[in-house]
Amino acid sequence: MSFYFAQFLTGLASASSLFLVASGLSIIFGVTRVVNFAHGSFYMLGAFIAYSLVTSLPPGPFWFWGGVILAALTVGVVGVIMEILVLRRIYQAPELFQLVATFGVVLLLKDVALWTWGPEDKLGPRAPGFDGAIDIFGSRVPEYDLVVIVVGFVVLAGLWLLFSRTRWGALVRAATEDREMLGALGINQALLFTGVFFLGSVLAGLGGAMQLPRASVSHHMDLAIIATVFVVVVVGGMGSIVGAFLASVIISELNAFGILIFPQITLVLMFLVMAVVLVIRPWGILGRPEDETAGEEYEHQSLSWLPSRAARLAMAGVVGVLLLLPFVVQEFYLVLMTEVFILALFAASLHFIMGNGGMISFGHAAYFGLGAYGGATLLLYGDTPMLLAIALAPFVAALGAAVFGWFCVRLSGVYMAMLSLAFAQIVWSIVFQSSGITGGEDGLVGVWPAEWASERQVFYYLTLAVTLGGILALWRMLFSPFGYSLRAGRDSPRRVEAIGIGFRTHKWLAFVIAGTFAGLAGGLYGFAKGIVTPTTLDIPRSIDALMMVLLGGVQTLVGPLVGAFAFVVLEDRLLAFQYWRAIFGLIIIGICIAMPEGIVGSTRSFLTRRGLVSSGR
Amino acid sequence: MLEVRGLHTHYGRAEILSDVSLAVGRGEVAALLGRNGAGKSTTLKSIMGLVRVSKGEILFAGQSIRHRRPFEICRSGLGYVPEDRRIFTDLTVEENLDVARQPPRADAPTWTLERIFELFPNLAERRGSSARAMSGGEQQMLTVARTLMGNPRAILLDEPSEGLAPVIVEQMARTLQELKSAGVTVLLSEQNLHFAGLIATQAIIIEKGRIRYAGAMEAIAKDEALHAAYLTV
Repeated sequence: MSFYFAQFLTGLASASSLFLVASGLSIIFGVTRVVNFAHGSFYMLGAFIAYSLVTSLPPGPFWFWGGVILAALTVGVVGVIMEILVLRRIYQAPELFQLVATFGVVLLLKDVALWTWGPEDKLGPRAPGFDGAIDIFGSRVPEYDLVVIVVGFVVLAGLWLLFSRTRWGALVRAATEDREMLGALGINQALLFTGVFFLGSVLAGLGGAMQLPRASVSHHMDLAIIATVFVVVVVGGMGSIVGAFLASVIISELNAFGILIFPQITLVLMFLVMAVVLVIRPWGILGRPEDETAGEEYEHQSLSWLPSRAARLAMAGVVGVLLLLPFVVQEFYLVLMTEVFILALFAASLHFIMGNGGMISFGHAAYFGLGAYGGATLLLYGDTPMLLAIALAPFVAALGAAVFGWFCVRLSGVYMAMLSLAFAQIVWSIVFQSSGITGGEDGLVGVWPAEWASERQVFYYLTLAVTLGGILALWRMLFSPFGYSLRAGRDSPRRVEAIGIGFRTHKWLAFVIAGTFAGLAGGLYGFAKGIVTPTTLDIPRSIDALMMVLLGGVQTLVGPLVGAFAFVVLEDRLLAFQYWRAIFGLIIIGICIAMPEGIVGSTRSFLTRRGLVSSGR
Repeated sequence: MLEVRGLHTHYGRAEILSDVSLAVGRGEVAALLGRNGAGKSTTLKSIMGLVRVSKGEILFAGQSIRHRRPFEICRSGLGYVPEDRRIFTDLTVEENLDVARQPPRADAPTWTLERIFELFPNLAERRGSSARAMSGGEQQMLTVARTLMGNPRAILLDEPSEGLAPVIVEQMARTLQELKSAGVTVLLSEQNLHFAGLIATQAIIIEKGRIRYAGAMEAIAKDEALHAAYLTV
């Protein structure tokens, strides 16, 4: 019995620390509608800064806690800087841009941390005065865990008082509901948003700083926590503090006890909780249903995308050049272009549901990875010929997309995006943990093309043919009645339902199709690289796909292809630098601010303004 | 007090307002009349900075406010009561009023919670309860009261009588009368000619985004041809 109580307290301590971070994200989202990917980086930064402060300040409880608080405040200032320099310029843009821009900040801060603190993990001191363990009903519980629990409750109470008893709290709640109206009542939104970012970031920083005596500070803290925090915030209900607290407790306790029963699937457990909660209550335990019109805020400009004759000729010209490429360039560029083709198909498949169906997926890499692992396992364990393995890979992905998509299409907007991320993390965890089959972190090696396709040129042509076929098939579907109903549903789900189209089924079908083609891209990718590792389906891979689509332009047909090209070339050039992530992050932020329509969209708008092309789109 | 010159507003490529000009004197109550979709709400939103104006000038108390943001316009003393109420349902009645509080102004009546509750006794009874639980009429009163908390010199009222029971409409008219006697300038948009006639002295008729007529309210009330052309359905 006492053991279970101790385990309960351990769970509560984790819950408390998770709540600090999650409440910050929830507050920020509630008011500004920004899904702040960099929130995990703020948490990491809090831990690193606290490490530096605590190890350089004099010993003793006063300086220890002073250092922790100072670290949290410093992170708050970093949050404010990000809000002012980056987000303030793009509040009007579709929410996806804000997300991608904050991912740029993630990359930037990763390198800032690397540059400042070096690559090693840091082990902080224990908290003075709380470095022992106490006996509770015969079990030893670390004293510091109790401190963390108390801090969690104090912060919960403090936030509750702040939001329910002060005018600032009332302003924040009002802004969560209708920020435009609040502006018309004389409230300076910009200032309020900055204040909210400060508070949210301080909480993330505090969460990180409080971890110092519990675990070593590492560079993986940012993305490691962000998925969990997303789950907590979504399960609790976006914008709800008490919801975030409840969800933190549920998830942490499930983890604490789940690990006793099935130590293998604790990661999966968390995401299963999320899936179950969201299917029962799509807006989380204490959240409010999203306004149905909220997702329709920005105009979808182009319903007719059918390329003009000139555009088709240009495309044919590009294909012609690609066909001749092996005769003129070195092998290195062929390898690079092979990757461009594969990622272009991957991006086009995401664009199929995003630009067309208005569905945002944060976890599209799951299907890419399922395809890659599907193809690789068929080859390595089933001795399947390469072409057959590539042909079967999409079916593996389609199966995953059918199951996950069934849940995802029930939600909309940010909730759907988060759920898709959660499913992708489930797949990632399963792959990561079943090292017997998948090779775990090392992945599957020896995924080489068949003898006849081992020449770079041959594989290049094979990839070109398959990806081109895939992209054309996707485009064909865009201009079929199926594509029309998807776009109609994207713009007005209710009207589409009213004319007798089962939009949810359409969305599900589209999700499966997108997953299938992502799987095809993944199948090719395995053979192109010769190795399939868990990075083929991790969060950064999903974000890569989003960036390719946005980089090119969501509201364009060739956007994803141009985006994939720009992405691969950029990454190839940047990898030569030690701090390539920071540069890449800055470029992403710059594009989000300067080219909200993407490369293709912005170029088109520029030409239209100059009267060089007709505005008929 | 409030003057609009040659205002053009577009939603996308569609022109909603075309060359709209109007003027409301200090302490005057003007009614902007017109059918559904004529451009009444858009005119008020354009003045308030809630939609982007493509061309034209907006002067409030002699100063251009066209390029100011809504919160700055509000702080300069122009209040806005939206058509669809938009009260904060998560907040209590008192909190709704409190968030809109602005410092007193020398040239406008100062509203305190006590004064507001005198004017709207219903709200006083429910000050601690959630705004979500109120009836439509009470919510409409709350939106007006909320805007008054900013101590406005002038207010823009978007269809205050819409969807209200006749008793409440009369109550609203009495409230606006009191505002008028307190010296607050009012520009209200209305479809209800009777209601407008109770309080407005000037009438401006808008149709398809253009101003068709401006003159004394009394004259319009009698002019059957004008009704037929621009107001009746």
